[in-house]
Amino acid sequence: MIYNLYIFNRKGKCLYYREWNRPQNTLENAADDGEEQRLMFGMLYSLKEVVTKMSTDPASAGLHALKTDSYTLHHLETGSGLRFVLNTDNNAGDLRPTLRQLYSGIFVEYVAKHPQFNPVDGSPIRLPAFDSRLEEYLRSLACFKS
Amino acid sequence: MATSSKSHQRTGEQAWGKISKVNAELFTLTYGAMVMQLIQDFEDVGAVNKQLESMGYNIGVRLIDEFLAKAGVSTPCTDLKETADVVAKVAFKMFLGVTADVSSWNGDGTAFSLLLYDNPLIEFVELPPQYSGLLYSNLLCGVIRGALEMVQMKVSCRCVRDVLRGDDVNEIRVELKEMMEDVMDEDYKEG
Repeated sequence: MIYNLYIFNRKGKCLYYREWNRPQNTLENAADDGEEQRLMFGMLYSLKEVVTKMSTDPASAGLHALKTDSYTLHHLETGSGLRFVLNTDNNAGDLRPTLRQLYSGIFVEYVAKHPQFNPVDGSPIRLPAFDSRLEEYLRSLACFKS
Repeated sequence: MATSSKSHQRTGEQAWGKISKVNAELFTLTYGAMVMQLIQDFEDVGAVNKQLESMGYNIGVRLIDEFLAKAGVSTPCTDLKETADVVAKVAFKMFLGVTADVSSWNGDGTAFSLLLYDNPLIEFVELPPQYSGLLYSNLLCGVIRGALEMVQMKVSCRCVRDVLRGDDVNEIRVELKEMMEDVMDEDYKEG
Protein backbone atom coordinates (compact mmCIF):
# COMPACT_ATOMS: atom_id res chain seq x y z
CA MET A 1 0.00 0.00 0.00
CA ILE A 2 1.38 3.40 -0.96
CA TYR A 3 1.10 6.07 1.70
CA ASN A 4 2.67 9.25 0.43
CA LEU A 5 5.28 10.88 -1.79
CA TYR A 6 7.67 13.74 -1.24
CA ILE A 7 9.95 15.38 -3.79
CA PHE A 8 12.71 17.54 -2.31
CA ASN A 9 15.32 19.64 -4.05
CA ARG A 10 18.94 19.81 -2.99
CA LYS A 11 18.31 22.55 -0.48
CA GLY A 12 15.52 20.68 1.25
CA LYS A 13 12.61 22.61 -0.21
CA CYS A 14 9.68 20.30 -0.59
CA LEU A 15 8.71 20.69 -4.24
CA TYR A 16 5.86 18.26 -4.15
CA TYR A 17 3.78 16.35 -1.64
CA ARG A 18 0.92 13.93 -2.23
CA GLU A 19 -0.71 11.38 -0.01
CA TRP A 20 -3.01 8.46 -0.67
CA ASN A 21 -3.68 5.78 1.90
CA ARG A 22 -2.36 7.49 4.94
CA PRO A 23 -3.71 6.05 8.17
CA GLN A 24 -2.00 8.35 10.61
CA ASN A 25 -1.97 11.89 9.43
CA THR A 26 0.23 14.44 11.07
CA LEU A 27 -0.68 17.01 8.45
CA GLU A 28 -4.24 17.29 9.69
CA ASN A 29 -2.73 19.17 12.53
CA ALA A 30 -3.03 22.70 11.16
CA ALA A 31 -0.08 23.96 13.17
CA ASP A 32 2.28 21.68 11.25
CA ASP A 33 3.19 24.22 8.58
CA GLY A 34 5.71 22.09 6.73
CA GLU A 35 7.30 20.84 9.94
CA GLU A 36 6.88 17.22 8.97
CA GLN A 37 8.51 17.83 5.61
CA ARG A 38 11.43 19.55 7.26
CA LEU A 39 11.85 16.68 9.68
CA MET A 40 11.76 14.22 6.83
CA PHE A 41 14.42 16.05 4.86
CA GLY A 42 16.50 16.68 7.96
CA MET A 43 16.53 12.98 8.68
CA LEU A 44 17.52 12.07 5.13
CA TYR A 45 20.22 14.69 5.15
CA SER A 46 21.75 13.40 8.37
CA LEU A 47 21.36 9.83 7.28
CA LYS A 48 23.28 10.60 4.12
CA GLU A 49 26.18 11.90 6.19
CA VAL A 50 26.26 8.69 8.19
CA VAL A 51 25.83 6.47 5.16
CA THR A 52 28.64 8.23 3.32
CA LYS A 53 30.97 8.05 6.31
CA MET A 54 30.34 4.36 6.85
CA SER A 55 30.65 3.35 3.23
CA THR A 56 33.84 1.84 1.89
CA ASP A 57 33.25 3.72 -1.35
CA PRO A 58 31.91 7.19 -0.55
CA ALA A 59 31.20 7.86 -4.23
CA SER A 60 28.51 5.21 -4.38
CA ALA A 61 26.74 5.44 -1.07
CA GLY A 62 23.11 6.03 -1.82
CA LEU A 63 20.30 5.30 0.61
CA HIS A 64 17.85 2.85 -0.95
CA ALA A 65 15.24 2.29 1.69
CA LEU A 66 14.52 2.57 5.37
CA LYS A 67 12.30 0.07 7.09
CA THR A 68 10.46 0.22 10.38
CA ASP A 69 7.92 -2.12 11.95
CA SER A 70 5.06 -0.36 10.25
CA TYR A 71 6.31 1.19 7.02
CA THR A 72 9.07 1.33 4.43
CA LEU A 73 10.56 4.53 3.08
CA HIS A 74 11.87 4.20 -0.48
CA HIS A 75 14.44 6.75 -1.49
CA LEU A 76 16.06 7.89 -4.72
CA GLU A 77 18.53 10.76 -4.89
CA THR A 78 19.48 12.03 -8.34
CA GLY A 79 22.74 13.60 -9.44
CA SER A 80 20.96 16.92 -9.63
CA GLY A 81 20.15 16.66 -5.93
CA LEU A 82 16.47 15.81 -6.23
CA ARG A 83 15.14 13.33 -3.71
CA PHE A 84 12.14 11.17 -4.35
CA VAL A 85 10.70 9.68 -1.18
CA LEU A 86 7.87 7.17 -1.28
CA ASN A 87 6.40 5.69 1.88
CA THR A 88 4.59 2.37 1.73
CA ASP A 89 3.63 -0.51 3.97
CA ASN A 90 6.13 -3.34 4.38
CA ASN A 91 4.72 -5.56 1.63
CA ALA A 92 5.50 -3.33 -1.34
CA GLY A 93 8.87 -4.90 -2.19
CA ASP A 94 11.72 -3.04 -3.85
CA LEU A 95 10.40 0.18 -5.38
CA ARG A 96 13.69 1.59 -6.68
CA PRO A 97 12.76 0.82 -10.30
CA THR A 98 9.42 2.51 -9.68
CA LEU A 99 11.14 5.64 -8.38
CA ARG A 100 13.49 5.61 -11.36
CA GLN A 101 10.57 5.39 -13.73
CA LEU A 102 8.87 8.18 -11.85
CA TYR A 103 11.96 10.32 -12.36
CA SER A 104 12.83 9.54 -15.97
CA GLY A 105 9.41 8.80 -17.38
CA ILE A 106 7.22 11.26 -15.51
CA PHE A 107 9.24 13.96 -13.75
CA VAL A 108 11.52 14.69 -16.71
CA GLU A 109 8.71 14.64 -19.26
CA TYR A 110 6.05 16.53 -17.33
CA VAL A 111 8.02 18.75 -14.96
CA ALA A 112 11.58 19.37 -16.18
CA LYS A 113 10.34 20.15 -19.69
CA HIS A 114 7.53 22.40 -18.49
CA PRO A 115 8.22 26.12 -18.86
CA GLN A 116 6.59 26.92 -15.52
CA PHE A 117 8.98 24.73 -13.59
CA ASN A 118 11.99 26.56 -12.23
CA PRO A 119 14.76 24.15 -11.21
CA VAL A 120 16.75 26.85 -9.46
CA ASP A 121 14.43 28.70 -7.07
CA GLY A 122 12.71 25.66 -5.55
CA SER A 123 9.14 26.81 -6.02
CA PRO A 124 6.51 24.07 -5.55
CA ILE A 125 5.37 22.03 -8.54
CA ARG A 126 1.78 22.81 -9.47
CA LEU A 127 1.23 21.13 -12.80
CA PRO A 128 -2.07 19.32 -13.43
CA ALA A 129 -0.65 17.12 -16.20
CA PHE A 130 2.04 15.87 -13.83
CA ASP A 131 -0.55 15.22 -11.09
CA SER A 132 -2.72 13.10 -13.30
CA ARG A 133 0.11 11.18 -14.92
CA LEU A 134 1.64 10.44 -11.53
CA GLU A 135 -1.71 9.37 -10.11
CA GLU A 136 -2.34 7.09 -13.07
CA TYR A 137 1.08 5.51 -12.79
CA LEU A 138 1.02 4.86 -9.05
CA ARG A 139 -2.54 3.52 -9.16
CA SER A 140 -1.49 1.06 -11.85
CA LEU A 141 1.04 -0.52 -9.51
CA ALA A 142 0.14 -3.79 -7.83
CA CYS A 143 1.27 -2.46 -4.48
CA PHE A 144 -0.89 0.68 -4.56
CA LYS A 145 -3.91 -0.59 -2.66
CA SER A 146 -3.06 -4.06 -1.49
CA MET B 1 39.85 5.36 -12.98
CA ALA B 2 36.26 4.62 -13.79
CA THR B 3 34.88 4.27 -17.25
CA SER B 4 37.08 4.78 -20.28
CA SER B 5 36.58 7.23 -23.09
CA LYS B 6 35.66 4.45 -25.49
CA SER B 7 32.79 3.25 -23.39
CA HIS B 8 31.51 6.81 -23.03
CA GLN B 9 31.45 6.99 -26.78
CA ARG B 10 29.29 3.90 -26.84
CA THR B 11 27.02 5.23 -24.10
CA GLY B 12 26.61 8.40 -26.13
CA GLU B 13 25.60 6.50 -29.23
CA GLN B 14 23.07 4.49 -27.30
CA ALA B 15 21.60 7.62 -25.74
CA TRP B 16 21.41 9.23 -29.18
CA GLY B 17 19.60 6.17 -30.47
CA LYS B 18 16.96 6.38 -27.78
CA ILE B 19 16.20 10.07 -27.72
CA SER B 20 13.50 11.71 -29.84
CA LYS B 21 14.80 13.87 -32.69
CA VAL B 22 13.87 16.87 -34.75
CA ASN B 23 14.86 17.61 -38.31
CA ALA B 24 18.38 19.04 -38.31
CA GLU B 25 17.67 21.81 -40.81
CA LEU B 26 14.58 22.91 -38.93
CA PHE B 27 16.65 23.05 -35.76
CA THR B 28 19.48 25.02 -37.37
CA LEU B 29 17.15 27.47 -39.09
CA THR B 30 15.08 28.01 -35.95
CA TYR B 31 18.21 28.77 -33.98
CA GLY B 32 19.35 31.16 -36.70
CA ALA B 33 15.99 32.93 -36.74
CA MET B 34 16.14 33.28 -32.99
CA VAL B 35 19.63 34.80 -33.06
CA MET B 36 18.46 37.23 -35.78
CA GLN B 37 15.52 38.23 -33.63
CA LEU B 38 17.81 38.85 -30.65
CA ILE B 39 20.04 41.05 -32.79
CA GLN B 40 17.03 43.09 -33.84
CA ASP B 41 15.74 43.34 -30.29
CA PHE B 42 19.00 44.21 -28.56
CA GLU B 43 20.83 45.98 -31.41
CA ASP B 44 24.07 45.36 -29.58
CA VAL B 45 26.25 42.32 -30.19
CA GLY B 46 27.55 42.20 -26.62
CA ALA B 47 24.02 42.13 -25.22
CA VAL B 48 23.07 39.37 -27.66
CA ASN B 49 26.06 37.29 -26.57
CA LYS B 50 24.98 37.69 -22.98
CA GLN B 51 21.39 36.85 -23.74
CA LEU B 52 22.38 33.70 -25.62
CA GLU B 53 24.47 32.58 -22.66
CA SER B 54 21.65 33.19 -20.25
CA MET B 55 19.14 31.33 -22.44
CA GLY B 56 21.60 28.46 -22.57
CA TYR B 57 21.89 28.50 -18.79
CA ASN B 58 18.14 28.16 -18.44
CA ILE B 59 18.20 25.23 -20.83
CA GLY B 60 21.12 23.64 -19.01
CA VAL B 61 19.53 23.62 -15.57
CA ARG B 62 16.59 21.64 -16.98
CA LEU B 63 18.39 19.49 -19.45
CA ILE B 64 20.56 17.98 -16.74
CA ASP B 65 17.65 15.95 -15.38
CA GLU B 66 16.86 14.50 -18.76
CA PHE B 67 20.52 13.72 -19.14
CA LEU B 68 20.84 12.03 -15.75
CA ALA B 69 17.63 10.09 -16.24
CA LYS B 70 18.24 8.87 -19.77
CA ALA B 71 21.90 8.99 -20.70
CA GLY B 72 22.69 5.71 -18.98
CA VAL B 73 25.78 7.00 -17.22
CA SER B 74 25.24 4.93 -14.14
CA THR B 75 27.98 6.02 -11.75
CA PRO B 76 28.72 9.59 -10.73
CA CYS B 77 31.82 11.12 -12.31
CA THR B 78 34.81 10.78 -10.03
CA ASP B 79 36.81 13.73 -11.31
CA LEU B 80 36.74 16.60 -13.76
CA LYS B 81 38.54 14.52 -16.38
CA GLU B 82 35.68 12.08 -16.45
CA THR B 83 33.12 14.88 -16.38
CA ALA B 84 34.77 16.48 -19.40
CA ASP B 85 34.70 13.19 -21.24
CA VAL B 86 31.05 12.56 -20.42
CA VAL B 87 30.09 16.05 -21.57
CA ALA B 88 32.02 15.67 -24.82
CA LYS B 89 31.14 12.10 -25.72
CA VAL B 90 27.76 11.47 -24.12
CA ALA B 91 25.97 14.79 -23.59
CA PHE B 92 26.93 16.41 -26.89
CA LYS B 93 26.04 13.22 -28.72
CA MET B 94 22.74 12.81 -26.93
CA PHE B 95 21.45 16.33 -27.50
CA LEU B 96 23.21 17.49 -30.67
CA GLY B 97 24.13 14.25 -32.41
CA VAL B 98 27.84 15.11 -32.56
CA THR B 99 30.75 14.49 -30.24
CA ALA B 100 33.41 16.93 -29.13
CA ASP B 101 37.07 16.37 -28.33
CA VAL B 102 38.56 17.23 -24.97
CA SER B 103 41.97 18.90 -25.10
CA SER B 104 44.31 21.56 -23.71
CA TRP B 105 44.12 20.73 -20.01
CA ASN B 106 45.82 23.29 -17.83
CA GLY B 107 48.54 22.29 -15.37
CA ASP B 108 46.40 21.61 -12.32
CA GLY B 109 43.58 19.93 -14.23
CA THR B 110 40.90 22.53 -13.59
CA ALA B 111 40.36 23.81 -17.12
CA PHE B 112 39.93 22.14 -20.48
CA SER B 113 38.76 22.87 -23.99
CA LEU B 114 35.96 21.23 -25.90
CA LEU B 115 36.70 21.11 -29.61
CA LEU B 116 33.66 20.91 -31.80
CA TYR B 117 34.54 20.04 -35.39
CA ASP B 118 31.01 19.58 -36.52
CA ASN B 119 28.75 22.18 -34.95
CA PRO B 120 25.15 21.73 -36.14
CA LEU B 121 24.22 25.25 -35.03
CA ILE B 122 26.38 26.95 -37.66
CA GLU B 123 25.29 25.01 -40.72
CA PHE B 124 24.33 27.51 -43.51
CA VAL B 125 25.52 30.45 -41.41
CA GLU B 126 27.75 33.29 -42.51
CA LEU B 127 28.61 36.14 -40.23
CA PRO B 128 28.35 39.59 -41.87
CA PRO B 129 31.38 41.80 -41.06
CA GLN B 130 29.37 44.20 -38.87
CA TYR B 131 28.55 41.32 -36.54
CA SER B 132 32.07 39.99 -36.23
CA GLY B 133 31.85 40.27 -32.44
CA LEU B 134 28.88 37.93 -32.28
CA LEU B 135 29.45 34.66 -30.42
CA TYR B 136 26.93 32.77 -32.46
CA SER B 137 27.15 29.53 -30.48
CA ASN B 138 27.36 31.17 -27.07
CA LEU B 139 24.19 29.33 -26.09
CA LEU B 140 26.27 26.17 -25.74
CA CYS B 141 28.44 27.85 -23.10
CA GLY B 142 25.35 28.64 -21.08
CA VAL B 143 24.00 25.11 -21.39
CA ILE B 144 27.24 23.63 -20.06
CA ARG B 145 27.40 26.13 -17.21
CA GLY B 146 23.77 25.54 -16.20
CA ALA B 147 23.93 21.77 -16.40
CA LEU B 148 27.16 21.48 -14.42
CA GLU B 149 25.92 23.90 -11.79
CA MET B 150 23.06 21.53 -11.04
CA VAL B 151 25.60 18.82 -10.25
CA GLN B 152 27.51 21.15 -7.93
CA MET B 153 30.24 22.35 -10.26
CA LYS B 154 30.58 26.03 -10.78
CA VAL B 155 32.29 26.56 -14.11
CA SER B 156 32.85 29.42 -16.48
CA CYS B 157 32.63 28.78 -20.21
CA ARG B 158 33.56 30.90 -23.17
CA CYS B 159 33.93 30.50 -26.89
CA VAL B 160 37.58 31.04 -27.70
CA ARG B 161 37.63 29.88 -31.29
CA ASP B 162 34.78 30.01 -33.73
CA VAL B 163 34.59 28.70 -37.28
CA LEU B 164 32.29 31.59 -38.19
CA ARG B 165 35.00 34.03 -37.24
CA GLY B 166 37.62 32.34 -39.37
CA ASP B 167 39.08 29.74 -36.99
CA ASP B 168 39.39 26.15 -38.06
CA VAL B 169 37.41 24.72 -35.15
CA ASN B 170 34.88 25.72 -32.49
CA GLU B 171 36.58 25.75 -29.13
CA ILE B 172 34.79 26.20 -25.82
CA ARG B 173 37.01 26.77 -22.83
CA VAL B 174 35.60 25.36 -19.60
CA GLU B 175 37.12 26.39 -16.30
CA LEU B 176 36.17 24.91 -12.95
CA LYS B 177 35.69 27.66 -10.37
CA GLU B 178 34.61 25.63 -7.38
CA MET B 179 32.88 22.49 -6.24
CA MET B 180 29.73 23.68 -4.54
CA GLU B 181 28.71 22.36 -1.12
CA ASP B 182 25.21 21.25 -0.27
CA VAL B 183 23.59 24.18 1.48
CA MET B 184 20.28 23.76 3.18
CA ASP B 185 17.49 26.23 2.77
CA GLU B 186 16.92 29.02 5.27
CA ASP B 187 13.94 27.14 6.73
CA TYR B 188 16.46 24.85 8.38
CA LYS B 189 18.47 27.50 10.17
CA GLU B 190 18.22 27.20 13.92
CA GLY B 191 15.98 30.03 15.06
